[in-house]
Amino acid sequence: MGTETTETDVLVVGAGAAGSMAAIRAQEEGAKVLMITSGALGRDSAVTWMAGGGFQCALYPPDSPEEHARDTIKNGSYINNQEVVLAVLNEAPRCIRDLDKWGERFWKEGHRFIQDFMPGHSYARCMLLKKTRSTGEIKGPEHRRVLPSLVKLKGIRCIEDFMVTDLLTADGRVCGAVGIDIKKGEFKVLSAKTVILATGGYAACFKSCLTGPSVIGWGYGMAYRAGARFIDMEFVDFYPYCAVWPRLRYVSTWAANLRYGLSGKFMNRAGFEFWENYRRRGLARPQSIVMEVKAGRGSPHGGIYLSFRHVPVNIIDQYLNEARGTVWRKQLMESGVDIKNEAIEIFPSAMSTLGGCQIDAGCRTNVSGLYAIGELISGFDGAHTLAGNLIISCFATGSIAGRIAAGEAKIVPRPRINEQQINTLRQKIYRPLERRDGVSTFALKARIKDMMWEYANVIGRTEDGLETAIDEVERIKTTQLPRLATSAKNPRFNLEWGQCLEIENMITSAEMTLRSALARKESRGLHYRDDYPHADPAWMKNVVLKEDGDRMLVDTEPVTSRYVKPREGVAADE
Amino acid sequence: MSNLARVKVFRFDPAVDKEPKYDTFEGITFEDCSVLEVIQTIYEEREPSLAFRQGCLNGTCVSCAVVVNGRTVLACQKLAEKEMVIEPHPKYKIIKDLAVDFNEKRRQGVEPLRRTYPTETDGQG
Repeated sequence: MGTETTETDVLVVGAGAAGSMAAIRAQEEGAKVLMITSGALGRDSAVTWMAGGGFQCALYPPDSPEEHARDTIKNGSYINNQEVVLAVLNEAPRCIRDLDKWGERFWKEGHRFIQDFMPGHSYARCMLLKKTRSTGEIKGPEHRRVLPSLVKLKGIRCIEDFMVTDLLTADGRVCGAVGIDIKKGEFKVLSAKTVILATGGYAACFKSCLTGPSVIGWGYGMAYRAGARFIDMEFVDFYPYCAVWPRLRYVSTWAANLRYGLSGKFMNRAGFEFWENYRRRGLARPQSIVMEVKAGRGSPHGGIYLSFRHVPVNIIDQYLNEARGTVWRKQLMESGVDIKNEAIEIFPSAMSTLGGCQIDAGCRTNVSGLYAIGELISGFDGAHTLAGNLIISCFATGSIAGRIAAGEAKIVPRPRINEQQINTLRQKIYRPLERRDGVSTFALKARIKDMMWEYANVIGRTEDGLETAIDEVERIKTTQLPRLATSAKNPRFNLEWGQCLEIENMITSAEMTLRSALARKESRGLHYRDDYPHADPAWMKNVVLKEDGDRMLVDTEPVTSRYVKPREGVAADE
Repeated sequence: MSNLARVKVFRFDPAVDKEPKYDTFEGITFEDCSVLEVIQTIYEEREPSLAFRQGCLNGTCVSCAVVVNGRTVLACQKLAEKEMVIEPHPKYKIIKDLAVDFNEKRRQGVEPLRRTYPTETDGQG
């Protein structure tokens, strides 16, 4: 049929922190690597380029990866996959030392990294940058400064502006992927011995989110259709510190800099510090905020207050002085709000998703040849993310998977590609472009986002609500999805076409979250059911999802606690 | 209408067009919006064939760099104005409309892009 096929050993889909790390490691192992990004390298919507301040690693005794794992598992309400936690955290110090070698400017005294405390950790583990020396300052730009150029320097082949839409499978094994070259608007086939998915989470399935709009769970949909099993999909992390007033350009995490840098206090409209009341009940910070707002004790812009009035003025001045040159400070000054006297208003937004492909300690999924890394993994965070663990898990899983996938690629023969599957997928991809008229992409996306915000939010998950949402998903799947049509017909750099193809993945991610949330009849970590507000020891298990024909099969699996034994009723901090 | 913006957007598809042109969109909400939000509004509500880049929306990834009224800015960080002319980044090769190829420098003269936008925007400060 004359479809252009590109061959490689290891295919890495996604070029954020996890993807870049995996590509670098796989190349170090001597494999032929091809990395794909849907944007321009280093200028794509990878969420790790805007990663926050937390970046934890256990480096020096008496701290150890085991201690770090203990904290992680305790915070994850003991439903983590302990093998994965240990594998990831054991890999972490190596990643930090490599990043240091590659040029990330950590704060060091001599050869020793200086680290700081973050909530929930028994030891000081947060890496600091030399320039800002603050746990609150974002570290994403530093990763972005180092990794994409290193990928180029190492000569790793990278295809930019390429949207992988589906995985190819043959005899139960992943053998490549298909997608569109956005610039040319052409359908292309990628043949690979092993595939590493590093496509990120699906926080953008929620109306208010911190991530770029394309973070809707591409990998979730692709892996699901390839037969991967998913766990923990009910846990979605909402970032509490999104400023609703003053509104600086776009949803932004700048409030977190202030919160950590100046120990801001949470207050409701009566000036009462409500957090302690909720913490004692074992609730997480975002949950406490939404509950206060729902109880009618919120601020005028629909959030709660973050106050710095208790901090002496010279300390605030000093902090703002040190933050000179940052975008948020400039905008805060422009907004005219004086944080010495006025409280800012914050409300949670979807940040990251804890669930994902069920993996083993080598990041292998149940589909042979397919690896999941970064936000697409599950079992590491359990029911609640420990502060600063997200980014290190991206680097560490990338590092592990890159090495193992390269090793596997050396011993497996190149799988044959099924021509018929390619043709089916090609037709599927071109269909929205060919359809004369039908359902609008934008309206449908907005509808899914609203639905998720309404029924699968921080709190407010109920049996009725979730069932309503699942019915809605089923309706969308049968009546809307097959009728999607783009109004722009030129295939070259057609963003609408890409967004149209996104929706199937968006729906899969959404459905998995809704079904898991419905199945888990308790409240644990970040999953809060209004109708089951307490943790239930009987739910010390994971909700497992997989494709079964047209249906999504929901099952549960017990947790094995090999290293850390569970203790119930432990309050989780953010 | 006081609270709606008039936006001229650079349109150019090197595969088809010989000359770039400017499409004008009137009646766009712009108050408290970033330039990128205005571009998104135009794309979603008026012209879905508009090509542009966006990434993190937080001023980090630099993919949304465009020229607004003659100045290179990050669209996600720049506050929208009532009269705007939006053009692609001046340094890189144009793929389509506002989307550029960050790996290739633009060859001067081959792709015409000078400050040719009309002068109705004068006096806007």
